Amino acid sequence: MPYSVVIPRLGLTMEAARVVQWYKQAGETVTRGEPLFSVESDKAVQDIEALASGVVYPLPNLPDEALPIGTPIGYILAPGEAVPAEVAAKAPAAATLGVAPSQVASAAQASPVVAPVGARKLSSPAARRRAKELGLDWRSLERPGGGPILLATVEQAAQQAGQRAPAPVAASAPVAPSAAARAGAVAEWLNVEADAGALVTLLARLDSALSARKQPAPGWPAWFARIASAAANASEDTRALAATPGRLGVYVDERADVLSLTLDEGQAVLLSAGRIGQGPGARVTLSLSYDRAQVTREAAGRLLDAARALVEQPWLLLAS
Amino acid sequence: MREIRLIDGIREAMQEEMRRDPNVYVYGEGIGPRGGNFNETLGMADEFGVRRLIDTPISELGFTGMAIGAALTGLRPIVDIMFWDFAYEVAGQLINQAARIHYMSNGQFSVPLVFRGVVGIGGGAAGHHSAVPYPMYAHFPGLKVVVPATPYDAKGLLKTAIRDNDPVLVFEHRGIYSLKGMVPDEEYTIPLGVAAVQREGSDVTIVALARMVQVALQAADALAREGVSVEVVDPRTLAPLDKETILASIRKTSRVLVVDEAYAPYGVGGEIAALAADEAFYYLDAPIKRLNTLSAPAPASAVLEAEMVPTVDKVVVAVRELMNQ
Repeated sequence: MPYSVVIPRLGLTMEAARVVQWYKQAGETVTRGEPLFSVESDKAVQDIEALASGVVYPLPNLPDEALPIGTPIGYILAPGEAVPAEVAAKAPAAATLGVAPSQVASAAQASPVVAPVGARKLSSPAARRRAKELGLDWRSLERPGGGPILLATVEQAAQQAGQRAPAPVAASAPVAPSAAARAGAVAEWLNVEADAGALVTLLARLDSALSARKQPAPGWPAWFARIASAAANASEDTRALAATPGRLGVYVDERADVLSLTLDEGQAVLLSAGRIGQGPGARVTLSLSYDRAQVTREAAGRLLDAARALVEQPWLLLAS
Repeated sequence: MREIRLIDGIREAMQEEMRRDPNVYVYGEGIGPRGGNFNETLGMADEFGVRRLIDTPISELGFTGMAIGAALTGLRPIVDIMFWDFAYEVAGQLINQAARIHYMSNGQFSVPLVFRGVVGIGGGAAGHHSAVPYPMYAHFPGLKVVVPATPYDAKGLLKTAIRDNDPVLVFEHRGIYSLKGMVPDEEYTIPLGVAAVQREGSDVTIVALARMVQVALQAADALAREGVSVEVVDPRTLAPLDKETILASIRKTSRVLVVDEAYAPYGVGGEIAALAADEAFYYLDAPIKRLNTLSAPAPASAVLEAEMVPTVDKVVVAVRELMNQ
C-alpha cells in the first residue's frame, strides 16, 4: 500500500515548509529511519527521516516554495508496486492540497489508499445534520476561504440552490426527501407516528373472515389508499386534491420504517406509510410530502392528522 | 420589590426560616454576637439567642459531626464553615456520612443539613482561603450542590435548601457578596434543579456559575457591540443539574463555552461538554470550550490572582475564537 510522504510539522508555530532536497531519487529504496529529504521552515533546514521502508516516489513538478503542513510530496511504495495512475496524473494538483479540496476529495474516492493526510474533508455535526435534512451531500459543498463545513456553509448552499428549508418536524427524524433537492421544487414534509394496534386486529380478522369465504383480503397498501382518499376528503381545503387524478399520491413501502419521499410530476401531496410494527403496541409512521406552492402547511397538517385518526380508529372509514 | 445585597439575601433566608421553624439552628465560628465573618448572621443572635446561633470552637470536625447528629434527630442545622477550604477537614463526615446515611439506613434516617460557606479567588486570600471546590462535591451521590449568582437566587435557593430533607451544600462567592439585586417583598423560594437564563442570545451559549455569571454578562455586553449575540445560562444548582435548559440553549446557538472559577480537570466544564456531546451532538457547530482558573494553588499576589482566573477579556477572546472556527 503506498505510504504518503507529507510536509511534516516541525514546530508549534510552523505552518509551511519548502522541500530543499531529496536524498533518494525516484525508484531508489529507503529504509525506515534513513534521511529521506530535507525541508526549510521559518527557523532552519532540517533532515526528515523516512517513516516507512520501500521504493521512493517523489511527486514530480513540486513547486519550489513553502508548502502547508500535510501537503503530500511523494510516496513510498512496496517493491514492485506501481504508482497509481491517478496519483501520477493528479500530482501537480494534489501538491497544492487545500486550495482544491474537491479535486482531492474525488481523488481520494477514486483511490482511497493514497488519500493523503490532511485531505479529509471536515464538517461540524450541526452542518451534517442540516445537510441531511435538506437532502444535500455536505461533502460536495465548498466553504469560501476554506475550513470545516459549518452550519452557515450549508444554509448558504441551500439558499443559493433556491431551496426553502423544510420546517422542523417534531414527530420523528425524517429521512431527507429527495423532492427537496430537486431543482425548483418547493417541497416540505411532515412525519407522524400512529398507533396501529386496532388496525392490526381489524386486518387480521378481516383476513380470516374473507379467507373462509375464499376471497382475497385487502392488504395494508390497499387499505391505506382508502385512508388517504378519506383523509383528503375530510377537510374542505384538501378535498380538491382527492377529486383531481394525479394530485394526491399514495404510497406504501412495507419494508421501510420511515420513507424517503419524492413528489412525482403533477403531484401536490404524497401521503405514504411504512411498515406496520408487530404486536399489540404496533406503530406505523405516516409521511406527507407536499408542494408549498399548492398546499399550505396547515392544510397538509390537517390531512396528515385525518390519516392518523383513520389508522388509529379504522372504523371511522365506515363513516367517511 | 426592593434592592438588597447578596449577603443580605443569605441572612434574610436564614432569618425567615428560623422564624418559620424552631428546629432551624446555626453552627459556626463567630456566628453568634460577632455576626459572622462576613456579617452573614449580623443581629441574628439578638433575635434568636445564642442557643440557636451556636458559636463553636475552631473545631470543624467537632461542630460538623454535632450538626449531622442533630439533623439525624430531626433538627435542621445550618453549618457556617466560613471558608469552604476548611471543609476539606470534614469532607469525610459530609461525603462518607451525611451523603450516605439515608441510603445506608434503608431510608430510616434523613440528614436535613445545610452546609454553607464562601468560595472564590480574590483579595490575596491565598492558598487556604480561596477554594472553589463545588465540582468535587457534585461528583458524589447524596449531596445537593447550590451555587447562587444573584441576591434573588441566593435567598430563594437557601430557603429551599433549609427546607430540604437531604444534605445541601451552598457555595457563596464572596466576590459577589456586595452585588445588588432586586427581590420581592413577599416570601418566595426557588426549586433546586432549575437553571436561569440570565441573558438571551442566539450565537453562543456561555454556561457560568457564581461570580462568573457577572463576568459572562459583561463579556456579552462587549461582544454585542461586535455583533455577537451571547446567551448566558446559570445552572444555579449543579446537583441536581437542569440539563434541559442547558441543552435547549446549546441546540439554539450551536456553540458553548463553560466559564468556571473552579479548576478545569474533571470539573463542571467537562460535565457540560459531555452533556453537549451526548445529547446535542448534531447541533454543535464548533468545538466545546472551557475557560477555568489556572490549575495552581491561589497566590497571595492580587496581580497573579487576576492572571489566574477567567476575566471579561479572556471570555471575549474565547468567544471570538469560537465564532471564527
